[in-house]
Amino acid sequence: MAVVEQEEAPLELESGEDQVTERPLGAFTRPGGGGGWRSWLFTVDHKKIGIMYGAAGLLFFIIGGIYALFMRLQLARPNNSILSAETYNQVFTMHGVVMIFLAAIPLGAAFSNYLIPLQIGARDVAFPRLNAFSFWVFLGGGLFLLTSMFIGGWWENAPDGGWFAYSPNTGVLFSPSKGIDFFAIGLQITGIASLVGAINLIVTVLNMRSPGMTLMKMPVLTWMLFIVQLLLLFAMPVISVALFLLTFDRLFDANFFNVAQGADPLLWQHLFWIFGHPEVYILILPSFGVISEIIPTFSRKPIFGYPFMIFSGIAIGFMGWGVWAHHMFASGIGPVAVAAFSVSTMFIAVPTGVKILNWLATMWGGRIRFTTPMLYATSVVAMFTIGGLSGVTHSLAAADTQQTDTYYIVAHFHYVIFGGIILGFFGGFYFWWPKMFGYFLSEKIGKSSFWVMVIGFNLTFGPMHILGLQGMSRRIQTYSEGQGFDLWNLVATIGAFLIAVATAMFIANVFISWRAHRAGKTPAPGPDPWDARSLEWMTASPVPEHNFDETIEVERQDEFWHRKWGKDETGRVVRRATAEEVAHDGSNTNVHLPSPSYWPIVAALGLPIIGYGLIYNLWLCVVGGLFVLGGLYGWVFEPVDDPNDDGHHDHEAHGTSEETRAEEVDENSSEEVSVD
Amino acid sequence: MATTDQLTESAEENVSWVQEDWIYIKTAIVLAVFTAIEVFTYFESVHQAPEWLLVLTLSFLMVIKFFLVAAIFMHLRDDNAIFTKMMVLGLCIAWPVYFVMAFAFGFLPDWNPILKVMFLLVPPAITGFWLGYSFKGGTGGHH
Amino acid sequence: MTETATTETSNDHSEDHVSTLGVSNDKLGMWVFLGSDCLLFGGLISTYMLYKDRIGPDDLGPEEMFDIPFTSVSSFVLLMSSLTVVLAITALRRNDIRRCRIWLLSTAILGAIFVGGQVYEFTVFYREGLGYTTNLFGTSFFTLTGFHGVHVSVGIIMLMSMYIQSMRGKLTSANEEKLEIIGLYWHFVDVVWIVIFTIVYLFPQ
Repeated sequence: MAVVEQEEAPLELESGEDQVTERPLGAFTRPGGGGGWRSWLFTVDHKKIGIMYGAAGLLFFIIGGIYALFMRLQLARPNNSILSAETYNQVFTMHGVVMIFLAAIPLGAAFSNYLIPLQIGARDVAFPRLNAFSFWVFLGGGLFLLTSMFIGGWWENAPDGGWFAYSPNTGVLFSPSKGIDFFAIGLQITGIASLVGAINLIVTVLNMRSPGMTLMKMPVLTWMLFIVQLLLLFAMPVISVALFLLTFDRLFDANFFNVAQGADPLLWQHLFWIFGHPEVYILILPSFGVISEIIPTFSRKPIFGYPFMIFSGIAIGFMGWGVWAHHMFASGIGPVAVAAFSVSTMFIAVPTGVKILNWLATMWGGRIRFTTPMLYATSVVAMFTIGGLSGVTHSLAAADTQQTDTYYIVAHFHYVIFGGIILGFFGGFYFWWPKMFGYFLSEKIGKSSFWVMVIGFNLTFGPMHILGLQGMSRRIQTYSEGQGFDLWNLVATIGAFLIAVATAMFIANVFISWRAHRAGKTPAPGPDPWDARSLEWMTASPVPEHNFDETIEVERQDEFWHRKWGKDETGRVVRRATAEEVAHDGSNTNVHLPSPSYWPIVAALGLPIIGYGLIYNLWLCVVGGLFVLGGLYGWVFEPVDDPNDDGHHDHEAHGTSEETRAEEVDENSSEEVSVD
Repeated sequence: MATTDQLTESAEENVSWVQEDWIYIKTAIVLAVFTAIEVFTYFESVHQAPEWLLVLTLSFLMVIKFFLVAAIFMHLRDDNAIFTKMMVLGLCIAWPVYFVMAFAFGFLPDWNPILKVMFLLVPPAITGFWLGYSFKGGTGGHH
Repeated sequence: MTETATTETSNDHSEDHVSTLGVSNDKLGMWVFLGSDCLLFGGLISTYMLYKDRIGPDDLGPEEMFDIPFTSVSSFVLLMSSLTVVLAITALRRNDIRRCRIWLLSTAILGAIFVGGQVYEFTVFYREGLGYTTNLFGTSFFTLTGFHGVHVSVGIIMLMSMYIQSMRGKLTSANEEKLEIIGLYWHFVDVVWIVIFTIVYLFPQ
């Protein structure tokens, strides 16, 4: 359900202001804009929300990685018994669910939240409070899912049906623990978060661009993230339907997947994959966008074939809706459907190939600087190509029936998901870290961790191609000796631990570089450390709370680059201005920003409580419902002003007239209504 | 909560609001008539018609009603084109996707395959046409 | 009826940003949401279509259960509520608060009649032996129409909160866009019912 809000009147909230005068005006005050944990809990700032998405996504990535390490330990030797079969089922399910829904999607959301408003030159997203709401809903849903590990016994109630939870295997009959309930309700909650976030960002991109920023001047990253939001918008309701049906089956004895009553298990598969295949592009397109920013920057060339990049992204977005049944070639969907989906699957490789070629052509003849982000970006091109090619082999239905449910599939989707997405996101971290936090990550540690990660990744998933073609099934807890699986499983386990080492090196890098920065040993990055092209580099690092000092008039694609560089009479590219001259220094403290709010987090808190209530005791649903209602009520009747908003903001600095603003506040002070 | 201002205003407009909103009332009448026709197909004599004919007629009326409400009650006819585009995008994804799913299940009645293809293509074609029409005042993406 | 031009009241930094498309964020947000809701109801309707005939020979199926004249009346009621809500919006635009309140209230009442009719229908079905868990037809029918009923109820709550605002004298033509957004949601629920009524009730079983 969308909550459409009458947006706040412009409010003053100085950047870097520390003092908070909490003046409680009953239940309906708005929190002050001060520092400390409150500034994060009640923030509506898209940058803080983006950073929180990133932190939460990384945390879940590490948790999901720990699951993976346990699986690899179990499989390192034949007949191993570290995990029992029951636990193994739960661990691989949790690994998949956590990695896809709680790590990859939110990391994409982190980039979307942080970068979309900056790249289109906006102050914030269209609905700042909804943005906070969607983050807290996501976090609540994610933690709800994780608690299934220990509620009601250690690894007793975690979901155990695989991340795609095929029915009727997920019915009460075959999966009597509470695990699938946690799965269905947890994903329903995170789905709400994605849907709300998607609505918010779509409106932002459509309606909040700075003057002159037409759609075809937007950076490729923004475009890809925009397509992702559209995919989320239309895919999330489908999985919602599927999860509702599953939940009703399990909790209220409905018959949707009750084969005894004549139900068709394929319904789940169809609904799941109608969501699931667009989901694949929801995961990969942000990474495509990220490397489409990194590669031109470090090749010192504009992206090759910008319109082709955009339209191939759009084509992927549309065609992604027409290939879902290739996940079901072995499910008995009939020869016509198999043939049709085979062909459509082969076709969808075309726009992806266009992108690969464009990245290569962008690098071609460029002056390439192999910094850490660039290393990651180039590795994405290579690794994703491998994953894409093994994907094309699945489109051949005859081959696919041999590969289904073997480690070949595992190898394929890890090459696209890890090689395509996670490597791209790490590149993005290194690229935008100075922008987000105002200090460089160490290139030395970065490069070595990159090599450890890429080698570890190939050692882990490369051998799985061989294992799969040898016939090793996925999702089995162990295997016996002498089947020829021993060596490659051991190699894969070693590789998995190398990935863990590389991730630990990244975390260490964050702290080591931060300390070096604090000690003044590393230079400050300045607004534009990489000589980059898009608008987010046109403001100070870290980005001030108000983003830009003044509205940017955009004339061209890569506006920032063109302000720095021009051509002389002979056609040579020459510097016209330094980044510091062009960029805003963040000194304008006279900008209105939406005020923080208590209510998004309160309303979001209710959802997991309702979830527990549905599983354990319906009375809890009432409590959760009260939280949601109370949150929405507070949301609606929240004053548009914040308590600190009386007068201390009369800076003379940049003179947008105070009177006009006062009038606006008046106009808007009629109560907001929240539309559910 | 009528203020004096509103009182005078409504005194003037007492007769005219029906005229001003006539377009909506007219639409509602048309919708009611279409619904009556739809319900009429349920009764014995007409119900004997071939199944595909009934389905075709009913779907046609349904689509017309759908677009009447969207175009006039929801103001798509003369509102910004972006709203139409968002709605049509949803429809253009929903209809073919679920229809193909129905195909795969084979749960469609055993009609002529040509009719099935028509069913698959006609609503997106109508929506696409409408989308094209909505571009007339399109401001999408430009100032 | 179109105030696309520059209703900037809802744009939270209107002084330095003209909205790119000249439309309000709130309204665009509602449309985006409605576009996505199409997929939700599409999935539920498809599920129903798949399952409605998967019942035993002696089971209660659509043919035995549906009372078309009754449902026709409640469909008509919902259809007319779409008219009343649009009349409320135009009345508010003319600043005719009194008439706006009448139309608001009648919309909510019509909606409530519809939901009441649905509850009555469900009760009758239940008495005749078709429970939620009885068979696939029951499960999918109650889920589909139940989801729609919840949507209508949410709409009624929004309309009533608008009405309560008007009792406190807070309803002015400045709120027109809010009401229009609620109206969009209401019309969409109506449109969905147009589809459900035709496909679920009227298609030859």
